[in-house]
Amino acid sequence: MANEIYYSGLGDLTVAEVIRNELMLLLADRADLSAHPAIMQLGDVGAQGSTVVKIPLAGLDGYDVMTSVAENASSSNVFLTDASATVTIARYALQREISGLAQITSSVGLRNLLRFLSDMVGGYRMAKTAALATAASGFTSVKGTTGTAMTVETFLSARYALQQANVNGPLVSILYPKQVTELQDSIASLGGARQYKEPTQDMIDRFGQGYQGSFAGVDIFASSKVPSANAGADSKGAMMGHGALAQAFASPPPVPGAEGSIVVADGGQVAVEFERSASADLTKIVGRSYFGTAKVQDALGVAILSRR
Amino acid sequence: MPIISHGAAPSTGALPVMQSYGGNQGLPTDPSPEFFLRAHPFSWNMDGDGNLFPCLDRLWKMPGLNNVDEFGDTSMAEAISSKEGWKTIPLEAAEAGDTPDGRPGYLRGYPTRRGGMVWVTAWESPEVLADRVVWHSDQAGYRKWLDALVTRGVVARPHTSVVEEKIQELVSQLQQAQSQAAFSPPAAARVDGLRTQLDGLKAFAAGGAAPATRSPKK
Repeated sequence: MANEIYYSGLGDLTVAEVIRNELMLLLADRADLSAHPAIMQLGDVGAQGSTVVKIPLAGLDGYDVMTSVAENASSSNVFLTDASATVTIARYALQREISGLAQITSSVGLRNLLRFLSDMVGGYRMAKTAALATAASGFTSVKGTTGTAMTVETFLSARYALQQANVNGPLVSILYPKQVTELQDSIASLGGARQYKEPTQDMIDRFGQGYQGSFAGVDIFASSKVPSANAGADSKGAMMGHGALAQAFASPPPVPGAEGSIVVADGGQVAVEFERSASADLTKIVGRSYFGTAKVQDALGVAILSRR
Repeated sequence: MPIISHGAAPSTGALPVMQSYGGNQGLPTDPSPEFFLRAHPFSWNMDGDGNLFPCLDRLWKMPGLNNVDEFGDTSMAEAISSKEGWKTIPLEAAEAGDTPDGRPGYLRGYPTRRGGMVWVTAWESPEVLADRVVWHSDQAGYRKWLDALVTRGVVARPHTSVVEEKIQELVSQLQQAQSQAAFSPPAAARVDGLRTQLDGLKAFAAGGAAPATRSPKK
């Protein structure tokens, strides 16, 4: 027996490895939280002369109550209470750079540079989500105990605090994933009339992958962007009503003469620009956006603390 | 989009200690912005014995967040924060003897592989394990520093109204756990702990929280 054909002997006819043509995504939190109606969206605030948007707040429509006045007495003026909150937008960017050789040899879709559009949009949405989760952690009222598991009691004490402060729905809670699973565990151990509502497909379609269901009338979102607290021992999530947080963006304006190299994505909120360096055969892909996030009314939210 | 911290010193106070980790590679984690710690009269933690200690929040130097402008200027954010009742803790409030590494200031920065820095408190330290970062937290040291902040007068003692609210919350949670204890072992297990906290908090209140002068807003 001789001259058998073995794979190990076909060095010139085989390759070390082949790349599957479909690109798989590395695991990451890609849940965008900004779609929930509890987040006040101020829209496009560009072309108005400032990076700062002021939200006027007035004590009208029941803030001041009528008082009785005797038949022969004159009524007096009541001071109109006003306040304001501001949102400041800032520039955010994500940049890649790819060589011509990397592009032409790519078998996984990077030949078409438009593939990077969704990369930029994903980066933009997660930056907004990180900003929301971080802003939500800053409510002055805090429920929960450091170093202990998330429980139904903590969740309900946050719910009751908002109820007692006359905060109307829709309510939303942004929690670290471990806070959500510990809450589910705590609910499961109780039984009784209160039921955790698992997310339905139409709700996931509406609110995105971060939607985890609802409990006690509060929509629950999980985000790994929820910041830690107490020197890393805890997660500081939150529960809030409509108007507690606001977000604004400004659409990057068109650049005359560069129409062919700038693509606008995500409803005009992200501009993706392609910049060639012919001598080096390199192409930069730069996504840019302008947005801001801020707490509007502190009394509309409660921070929720439990172990990380 | 990654949040790139500039690695610059905060606008006030002592310089943060910037350390490299694992040579020039940095930590395999996302960067995070710098921050100041801040205290609020209504934000308190409670330990298992019912003792209250400050629950500090972070004022992030993140452009576009809570009115930090695109240059990282926090003056407007700090003004709004102060109006809400927050007190910014100066970096130098952590003395050399307060931190595990014996260096002053409560902020520590570590370079990351993705570029930029990850900023944490002095009581958090990273360890790279199988291409992941495991964060260690010196909770005992951090707690000791929080108590020292109150003792030194950097943070005022909790207001009686705050203590009263915490007591009411504990009473409510204890009643809830007691009512469920018969059919829920986890609830039954919580009863003793809640009772210990309640007794401890009542003793704490008797020992002298700051006097009530006005009611909290919620």
